[in-house]
Amino acid sequence: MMKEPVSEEILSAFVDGELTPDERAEVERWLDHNPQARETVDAFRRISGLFETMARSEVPAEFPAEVLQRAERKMLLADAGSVSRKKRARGWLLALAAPIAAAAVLIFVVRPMVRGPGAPERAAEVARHRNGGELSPTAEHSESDEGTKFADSSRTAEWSSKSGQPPESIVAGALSKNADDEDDPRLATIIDDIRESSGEQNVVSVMRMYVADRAQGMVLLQDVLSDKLVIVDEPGEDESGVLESGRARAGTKEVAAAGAPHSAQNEALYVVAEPEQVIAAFREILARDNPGLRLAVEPPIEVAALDAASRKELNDVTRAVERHLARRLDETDSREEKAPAPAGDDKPADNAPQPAQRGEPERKPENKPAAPAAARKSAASTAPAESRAIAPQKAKGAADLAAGSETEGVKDAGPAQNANRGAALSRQRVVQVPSALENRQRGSEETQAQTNRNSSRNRGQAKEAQAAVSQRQADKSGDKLKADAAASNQGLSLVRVLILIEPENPPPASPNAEGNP
Amino acid sequence: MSKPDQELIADCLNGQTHAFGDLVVRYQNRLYNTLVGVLGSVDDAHDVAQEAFVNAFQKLHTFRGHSAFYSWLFRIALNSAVSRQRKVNRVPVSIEAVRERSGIEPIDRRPASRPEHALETTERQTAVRSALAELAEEFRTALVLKEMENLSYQEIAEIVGCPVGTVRSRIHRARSELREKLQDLLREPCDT
Repeated sequence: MMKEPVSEEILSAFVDGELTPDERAEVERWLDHNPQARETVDAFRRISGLFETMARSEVPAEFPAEVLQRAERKMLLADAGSVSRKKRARGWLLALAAPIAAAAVLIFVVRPMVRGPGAPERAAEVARHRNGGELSPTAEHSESDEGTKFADSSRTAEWSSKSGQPPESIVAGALSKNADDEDDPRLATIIDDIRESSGEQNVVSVMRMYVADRAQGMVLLQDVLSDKLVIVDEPGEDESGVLESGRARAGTKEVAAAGAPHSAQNEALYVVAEPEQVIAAFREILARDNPGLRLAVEPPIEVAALDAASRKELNDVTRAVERHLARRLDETDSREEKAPAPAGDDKPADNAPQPAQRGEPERKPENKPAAPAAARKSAASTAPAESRAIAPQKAKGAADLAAGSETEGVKDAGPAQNANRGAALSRQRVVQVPSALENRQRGSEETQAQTNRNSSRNRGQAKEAQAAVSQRQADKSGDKLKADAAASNQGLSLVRVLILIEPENPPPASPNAEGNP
Repeated sequence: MSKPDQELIADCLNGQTHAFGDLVVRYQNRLYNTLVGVLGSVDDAHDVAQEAFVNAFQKLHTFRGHSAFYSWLFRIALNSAVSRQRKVNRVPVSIEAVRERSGIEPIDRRPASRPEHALETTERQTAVRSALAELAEEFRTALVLKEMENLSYQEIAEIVGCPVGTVRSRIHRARSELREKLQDLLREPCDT
């Protein structure tokens, strides 16, 4: 018989069969003479019994396919750089059209072999496959006797500034189609995404910017965007689009508060701008020395899929751009009546408003005395003080460009014109991450498929639908100039981008010393 | 006859990536259900399980086979789960909250089940999940691995990365707390 009481911990181990034979025998003897210990053992056993009756469920049938798709996205695109979005979309549609079943495991075969044995040969094969531009009708490419196939179903690409460049053979293949991508392979998918989304007003591109410090990331992003004339939106602006000084100050506070990412948990930046402005901003972000900064392209979201509050935020920013555009067009029309329209040496942007180009003889770069005045007017009225409130250094953006600064702006227009157009056509606003987006992140592949299908459908209908909405909004205001401007706005190719600023998670601790995963 | 894990892993590393699909199918439900116990949410369990498989696929070449594949996989999942749990920092505070979060409608699998018994079973399971969710993360994980995975203390110690004695202590603490929280339930006659 045991001389000392047996602890409950020993009794717990006894229930689990984790005692040595000697210990076990000793506990059994103890239990014979201690009813309270027997009660404890009984309670522990009943707790175990409760677990046995716990409901078990099964993962959805498409789970293996989802796993392999995600693995493919992570492993291949991270290495392979850009694939044209059309190709990716086609791959997705085909992949999603395939019946999701256990057999799908064999269809969505991934390509880890790029990193495995024989990687160079396989990488070259991947590059040839992608660079060739022709996908078979099934978007699959038989690679080996084992039936390994390619399904180009990637939609997400991530690059880390510390993880180095993708394999050269793949990068070369991926980038050869687009000279713009040559400056930085990490930009390739971003450029694809931005350009594909331009002019589609019911669709919002989504980028994630992973940074070590979210507050600094927000400042960096706003700084760079402001340099590219994507100005901070001002919620205090009145409906007429006229910025009043008093309200501007109020707005400064509001935006400064909203732009204080230190206190916010899920902030994002919503940007409405010309595609080249956004691309230039991302190019500059990548060019700056930001160790650990990483950008990821996410599938686009539909405005209609967001909750009401998020939708309102996004629509407010869009309307702000449209109002400014309407005002710019109004001013231009007034000038046009006073001055004859010149031939215009500037090569207009493809997506620039034609009336604005026709009516800006004084904004040619050669005509500097007039240009700064026009642009300063624009800067004074549209580049609000709240920019300074968030990042003082970025106040130079519009005004300096207006004065002919060397700061890189929209490539195909003079700096003064850029200042005017940029101020009118771009906005950024700090927003809370739309809950619908968060929900979407955990949505099923089926939901994703539906979203993709809806996105495709909406992309096709976007301009028409937006034209009607904008026209209705403008008509409602009773302002014919606005209505006309909104209508002419349909000729623009603005892009809507939601940039989520995420803290870079620390790498997971090694779960296994031997495997070190 | 199904291939052993090591063969599937070797096949996968040799380029037959469908072999990894077989591993996923083999362990997906086991991993998922255990994660439901650890995380208390079917959504989180689904996401973490998926993430674990993806990470395992990426790191498969580092797996040496010194431990079971599932243990290795579960370690990966646990890392994801722990970081996710800490990040979200959600603590269910009510039975209803747990029921909503877990998303599991308990199933009475016994053929002789009655509607009222099914209700009792549902309530019992919800109560257990609620009590489980209130445990400290390390206690809950150790107990779930013991009760749902039936792993030995040694295996649990390898997975969570602590000494066997610590595992024994954590399991005991978890049981003691559950005994307090579920006294009423434990007093009922056990007809399961």
